[in-house]
Amino acid sequence: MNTTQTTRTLLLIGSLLLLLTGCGTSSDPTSSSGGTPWGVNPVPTPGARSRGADGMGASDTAGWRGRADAAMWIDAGSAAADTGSTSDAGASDGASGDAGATPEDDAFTGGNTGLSQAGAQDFGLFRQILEQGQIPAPETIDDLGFFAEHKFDYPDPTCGQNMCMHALLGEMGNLITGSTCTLIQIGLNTPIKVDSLKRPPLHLVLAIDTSNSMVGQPLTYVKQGLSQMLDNLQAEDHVTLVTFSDTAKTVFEHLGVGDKTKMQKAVLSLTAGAGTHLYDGLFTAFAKASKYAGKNLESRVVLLSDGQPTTGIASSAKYVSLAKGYAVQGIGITTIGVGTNFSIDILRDIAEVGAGNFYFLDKPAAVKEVFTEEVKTFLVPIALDVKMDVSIGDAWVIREGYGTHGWKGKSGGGSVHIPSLFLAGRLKSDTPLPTTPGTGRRGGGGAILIEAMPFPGVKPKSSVVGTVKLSWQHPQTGAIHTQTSTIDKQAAKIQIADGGVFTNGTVEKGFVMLNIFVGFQQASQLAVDGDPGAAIGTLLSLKGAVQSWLDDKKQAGATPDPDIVDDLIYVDLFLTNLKKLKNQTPVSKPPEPWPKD
Amino acid sequence: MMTHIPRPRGRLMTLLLHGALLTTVATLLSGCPLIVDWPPDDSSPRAQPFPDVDTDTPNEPWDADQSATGDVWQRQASQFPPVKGALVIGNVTGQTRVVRLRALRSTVEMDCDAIVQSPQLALRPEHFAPAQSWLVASGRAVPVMPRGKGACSAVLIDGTGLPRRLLFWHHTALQVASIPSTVAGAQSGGRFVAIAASEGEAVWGAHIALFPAPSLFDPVAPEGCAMPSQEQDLSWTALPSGNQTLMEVVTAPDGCSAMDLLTDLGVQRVYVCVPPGMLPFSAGDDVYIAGLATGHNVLPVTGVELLSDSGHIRMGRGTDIVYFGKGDAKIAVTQGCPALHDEVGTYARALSVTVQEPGKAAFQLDNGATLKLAGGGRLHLVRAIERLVWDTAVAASLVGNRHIESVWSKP
Repeated sequence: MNTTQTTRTLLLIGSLLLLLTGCGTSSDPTSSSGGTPWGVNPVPTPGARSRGADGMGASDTAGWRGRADAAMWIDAGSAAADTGSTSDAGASDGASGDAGATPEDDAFTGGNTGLSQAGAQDFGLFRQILEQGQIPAPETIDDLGFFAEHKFDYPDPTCGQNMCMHALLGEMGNLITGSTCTLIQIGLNTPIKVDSLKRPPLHLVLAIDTSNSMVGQPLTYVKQGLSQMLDNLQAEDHVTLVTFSDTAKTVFEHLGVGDKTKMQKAVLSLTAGAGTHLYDGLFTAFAKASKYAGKNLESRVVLLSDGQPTTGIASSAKYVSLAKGYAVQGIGITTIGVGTNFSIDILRDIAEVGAGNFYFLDKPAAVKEVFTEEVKTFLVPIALDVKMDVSIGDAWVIREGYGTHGWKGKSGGGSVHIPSLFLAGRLKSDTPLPTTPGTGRRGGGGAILIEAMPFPGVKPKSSVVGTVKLSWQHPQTGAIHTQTSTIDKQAAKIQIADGGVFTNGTVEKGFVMLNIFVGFQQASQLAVDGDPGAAIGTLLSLKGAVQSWLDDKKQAGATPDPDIVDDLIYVDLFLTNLKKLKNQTPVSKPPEPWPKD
Repeated sequence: MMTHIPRPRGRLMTLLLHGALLTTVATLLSGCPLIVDWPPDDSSPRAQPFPDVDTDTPNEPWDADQSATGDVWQRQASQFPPVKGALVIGNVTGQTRVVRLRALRSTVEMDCDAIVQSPQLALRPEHFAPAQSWLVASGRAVPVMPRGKGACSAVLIDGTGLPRRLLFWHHTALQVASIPSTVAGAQSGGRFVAIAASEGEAVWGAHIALFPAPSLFDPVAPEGCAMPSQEQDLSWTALPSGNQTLMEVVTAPDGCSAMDLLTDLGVQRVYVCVPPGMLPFSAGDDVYIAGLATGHNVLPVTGVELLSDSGHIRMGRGTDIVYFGKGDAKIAVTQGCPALHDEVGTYARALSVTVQEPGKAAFQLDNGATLKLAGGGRLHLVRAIERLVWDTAVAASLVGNRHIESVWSKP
């Protein structure tokens, strides 16, 4: 390398330092001007129908497609007028509804139910490894699954559509090193009540891994779960059972509920052995689902496996393309992981593209949770082909998006694509959880968090940080709907002691949740890197700050958030496991989780 | 038959540099790749016991360790043995620092000359193995050994209060040598990367081998230059050679087909994944199956050929496009397309195939495109790239840098 190259390199370093100042380098220049209230205001609502406006409504060819001729399955209750616009003026944010609202919309029916994205729905694998006294690797936890075990109370969904968007804002020092972070939180909810959800008849194709690695507890979980699932079938439902080890085998095909005894007997007689031709099992299951697909019917594959193919096609990309191809035809897939020697990638990825959810059964309680409670919601999506376009003002840059795998950053903002959304079963964030740690948390719904940073040296022209445009497709009618929210710093609802400000309390929880997730990931990575002392330092900082946050809430008379309290149990468990390691490096100050460059 | 590719397994090694002694305290990450395994190595000597740390101490427990700086500065450099390395990282901050060195994974290969100008654009964090952590007393220097196959090395470095940076150098420029392990002895000779202090913060000193941290994202790809997705790749399970009867064929929407073949051993199910519509067979066909070893320009490919009265298909991957009949096929880098990463981190330039059939105009076949040939066949270019950085653990391993997947079929 010559001197010119070195100079260029140093200049580049300088440029990076200038552009990416990190989460904590500076707070917003306007926020110090006497406590300017922050909030999110609705933007003026377009009066005319604008389906597909701004390219947001245009549906691409990828993603799940429901059949427009399927029966209506949502209890619309008392239909409200389709005004084409709503304003959560009384709430903390505002989503302007579109224009594309159509008569089949199920308007506000009094419910306030969260929506969860297709993909991981828990962090059960990470939890299981901690409970076994071990240190989980960083890839065992992802933001989508972790966030999904957190319930957020968003304002009532009065936008006039089946799905309402809430764009919220918050700023607070991070809980690991204290540097300041600014977050945009996007939440989605629906007026549809879980109990009033009426689904169309279902053809459920169960693809069960019966390979050698499923011997023992994994297969026991599977049998227990399937028995519970069969008990919850409805009169017009049908079931096909495909098992796979070295090859796939169809045990029974398209049996009705009248044959439930036969089905139960077949499930209970499953045995495990031999290799895992996962691709053969999945391909056969999709082929069976396709064979019976038809009008007024929901076809879905449910795959239960440890996710480790030992023969046949191994490329996870081919599994993804298979699931994606059938999703376009309206056949979704839900994946459920079991086993202690579990491989997460294939199951998580195909659920995400296949209009379905991914769960991991980490303990007996999870079997009941998934097969008797979650099953009410994970079989039919509420929205498809969900797209969000985030535009940010010149005074800001976006650094990262969390809580979705569909985030793509670009100049001036970014975009999110979510193949499908499902009802999230939990109703209120302060509802106590079961006493056993790590239970009762699935169905939280989660949130999308976008990290924004003030652009150094650029003074904002207004209090508007940015705009979020949403479009989504109705699973049954195919209609495209749009909404828009403006993120504005004008109306602070909550200011906290250390100078943090939030649109409302749910953003504060989002902030804490993100810090815990980042702390877990950082501690795992540091342990992998042979520096458990820094991992302990990270978790100690996190623990102290989170406990302090909970104590403040308690002092203020609020119920300590059950999800965060449960998270803290796993922070403690992680610390305990790290401390057991011999030959420790010294406990050290945690690295900056959001470094400056 | 394709085999399952195991997840790369990291190697965990914590090395402590305390006073004059380099000590290994823990080794080897093994077992389930999702669990950080930490086999205790009680037999390993320690330079000195770490102070007992009360990890329940609520406030800044790391402050207790700042005494471990030793007396390096008061001692002669000759009292510390030299170390072998291409470079050393020396601590001149006055405080003990943790430094983490992430070597390139042993499965990663690089075209050194092609990426030397901007290695930070070519390499990605996932190309690097878990770190070796060093506790470096002030005044000491820790060695950096060459890492990576071929003519150059890359090591990702960071540490307590230190931002992530990339060390990249040609082996001819910095050959392995014996270097003093103290700051005082190592600073001359062009092999010294300093951890310095500036306004109370640790910073990296300038060095010719020091580059910005690898970028996390590529710039937006120009029109027509995006890397083809692996979802479109060709794939097939082990196929029985010779004549077989096709009993049943079921094709999924993505083009993957399950074919039940009647063989001498009974009915055998095989899978073939080609672009939708390119498999020209139906149930009842007698299919002849053979392997392919070379392509159109007689360069190596690995592939299969299936022939029946209904149609004919060749599919292959290698350094050549499959044979498609009379005509020329010239393979070259696609003009106007920068090198980009694909979804498994391969950094590559797109290639195009210029097809010249007799009596017809030349046609440039790009990634993902199909050409209808004069004889009624179709030639599809699934993927054609020239790889500059790739991990053989997650990307198909081939001889040479070129990776071309193609399929020809004719009903």
